[in-house]
Amino acid sequence: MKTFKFYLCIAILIVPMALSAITNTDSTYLKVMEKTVLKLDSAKSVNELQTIRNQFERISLKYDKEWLPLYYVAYTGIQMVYYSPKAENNEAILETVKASLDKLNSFTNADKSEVSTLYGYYYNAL
Amino acid sequence: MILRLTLIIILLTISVRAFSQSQIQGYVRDENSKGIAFANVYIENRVDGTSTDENGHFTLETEEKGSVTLIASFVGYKPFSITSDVSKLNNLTINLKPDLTNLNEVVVTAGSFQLKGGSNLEKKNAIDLVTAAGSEGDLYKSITNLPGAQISGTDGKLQVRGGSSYETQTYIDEMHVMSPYTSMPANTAVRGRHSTFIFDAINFSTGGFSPEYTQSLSSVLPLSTKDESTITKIGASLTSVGLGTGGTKSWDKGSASFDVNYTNLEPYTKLIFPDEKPDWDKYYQGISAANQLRFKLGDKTYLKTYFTYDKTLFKKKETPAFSNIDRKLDFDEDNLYLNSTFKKRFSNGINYFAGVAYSWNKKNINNARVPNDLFKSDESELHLKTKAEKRFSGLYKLGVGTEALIRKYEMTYLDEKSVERKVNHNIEGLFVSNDFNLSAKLLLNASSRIEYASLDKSFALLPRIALNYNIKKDIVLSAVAGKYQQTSPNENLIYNNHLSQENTTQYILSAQNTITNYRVFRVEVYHKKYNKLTTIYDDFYHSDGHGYSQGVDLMYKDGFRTGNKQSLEYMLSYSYNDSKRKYAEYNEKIMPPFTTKHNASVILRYSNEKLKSIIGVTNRFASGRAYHNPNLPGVMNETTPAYNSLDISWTVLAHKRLIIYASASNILGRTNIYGYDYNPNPNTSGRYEAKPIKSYQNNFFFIGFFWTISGKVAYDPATF
Repeated sequence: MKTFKFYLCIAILIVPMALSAITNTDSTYLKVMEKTVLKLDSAKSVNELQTIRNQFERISLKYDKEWLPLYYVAYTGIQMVYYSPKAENNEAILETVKASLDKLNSFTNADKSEVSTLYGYYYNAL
Repeated sequence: MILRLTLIIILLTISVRAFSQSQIQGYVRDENSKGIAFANVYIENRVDGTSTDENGHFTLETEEKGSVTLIASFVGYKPFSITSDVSKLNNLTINLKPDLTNLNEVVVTAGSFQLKGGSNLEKKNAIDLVTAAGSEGDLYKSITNLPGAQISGTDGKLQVRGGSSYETQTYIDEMHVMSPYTSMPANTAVRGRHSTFIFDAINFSTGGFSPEYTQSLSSVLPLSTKDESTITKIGASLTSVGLGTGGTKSWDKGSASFDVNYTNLEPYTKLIFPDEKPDWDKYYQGISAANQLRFKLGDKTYLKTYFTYDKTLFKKKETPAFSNIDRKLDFDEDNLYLNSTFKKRFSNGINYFAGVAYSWNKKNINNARVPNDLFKSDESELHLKTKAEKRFSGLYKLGVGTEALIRKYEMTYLDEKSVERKVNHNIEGLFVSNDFNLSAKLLLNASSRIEYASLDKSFALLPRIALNYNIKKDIVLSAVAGKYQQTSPNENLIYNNHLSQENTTQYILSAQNTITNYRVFRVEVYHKKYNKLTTIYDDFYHSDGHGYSQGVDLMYKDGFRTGNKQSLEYMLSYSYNDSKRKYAEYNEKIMPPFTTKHNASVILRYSNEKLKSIIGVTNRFASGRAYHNPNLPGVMNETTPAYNSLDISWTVLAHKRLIIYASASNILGRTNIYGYDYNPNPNTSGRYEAKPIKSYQNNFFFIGFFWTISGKVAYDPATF
């Protein structure tokens, strides 16, 4: 009986912890996305955009089943090119944008119309 | 017991949180030891990384313990990673290496111009190209403005670096075009058969081109059409010389375009040159139809078919220089060009291409050389080509291809007696191209072609080596050496079908300084050696001609704003050419009459958005041509006066659906002399009399209205 109680207590303790750990991942993902998107809204320079792009890139590497981080990696890349159309490494940036877009195409949960819009931006930026 | 356990767990978690923050500091730099700003630095599988500051330094705070993988990455560089214990990661210096795959398609800059598309640097659309004065809306004329191209003769054909116009060949979608020019009466400038507006990319190589292209001694002009045309549109044009209409229908997996043009010089000639009326029995007329079908068969898989047909008719009085026997030259020509190309990029990175092109030209000329004769010719070429390309690593790319040219020519000349001649022959080639990205700054291309010619049953090895070196980001040095060959024209082969392939060996050095996107300076030096040129002596054709051509091409272009929504762009170019060859009926080395030693041009382009206008001014100058004066000793012993032409053009973007283009060439009315015809018989005082060779019409005026009837595009004269 005593051992049973002990296990029960452990179960009570651990299950919520595990659960919180799971929901935690989700909420950190959402939180970090929310935070970065907010930053993107107020970005005013290429340098800021690059920093934000780095953040989206890190998110996309960790949460590789999510399409949004990758979408934003592409989007910020295009924004950078628009901000400074004569920058030297624009060609290289656009190449990474193309790679992200092509990858997005294979996501079944991605919003196709958003991705197509980005393709449009991409071809415009070329 | 339970309480104790809970306590321990709580304490444990707290302690972990409290003592887990550790700091990693470091510096990220490039291959030149310069800091890389805003590089991405993070621990693998964590979202909370950092970016380097403007000097390349970073401080990363992490809660991770033990062994971690730190990654630093930046666009255009290979990502760097290091796995180590967190505590040992400090004061890191990270060297990022350039990612060579980003240099995939480094183009050898020597001898090449990309006029439209292709590269981000030189992006020009069709409007830019034809709004330059002197272009008269024609592709070949606008290219004549570039350094390396020489002032054309009276026929208006493109000549490059001391070569004849036959030495420059045109390719559409990598397939050869046998007769790219329209036919015109004597001493009248021809035009390109294919509209400038249908091309997506226009490349012009003044020499040292890839062995993918052959059968050209001087220059190639690879033109490419769009793979996809996504806009459905209809357009029409009305010009001083004709009218046209065309359009594109686009659907999900492809598109179809057509274009029909009718040219009639009657109203134009009657109005501007009324004196010519008695010369023309039938004014120049031409009808041309073009059609292209494009299919997207799958991901990166395209099938295209391009078809053009045109017919030219005119009947004009011709009077030889020293004769009073007129004849009515009655000209009738049919020309057809058809090509079909297939392109696919496989998922394993192989680019595959296959193409077929068929060119056919038929001429029927009455009173061609003397009254009541008849000249008939029928010429065709079938071109088959296939190639594959793959980049195996950041360092190496391989291209392999094979092709065949099957040519037929038949002519009949009926005078008092009839002459019938024909020649059939073929050329087969195999080419291999190796690209080595030796470093981020140094590209080496070593390639070769083996070619078999059925005429003299010869195999030739045609190697080419090219180096491209970026000293700095904005300065590129280039060196090319290559060997090329070309069959003598069919007009010679019908008299001797064992002529050897004419060949040249070319050496080119070039330096280009791209100071800004607009300001470019470029200098090129070249030397070409010609061998086995066709010669005529003892009433027979031989292959023992030879010669050289060498020179310098300089170009400087720049542009600046002259006010609100106004800008001025200009290009200065100068070409020096020294060329001598023993060829045709000359039995010693002479300066060929088609070359000019000094060529200079100034092109100005002023655009004003308020006036919705682009105004172009072009001045072209060339020193005199060599000609033979039988009154003096020696061969090709005199030079003509210099050539000069000042051209203007005015483009009005009247409405987003209507472009008006007007141009006038040689507005100063200078009579340019291209050589002299001499009376074969001396006059009473023993002298041979001369008459200058001039353009039939000294000026050319053009006005055109280009109207987009439907479609969502603005300022687009293209119907394709």
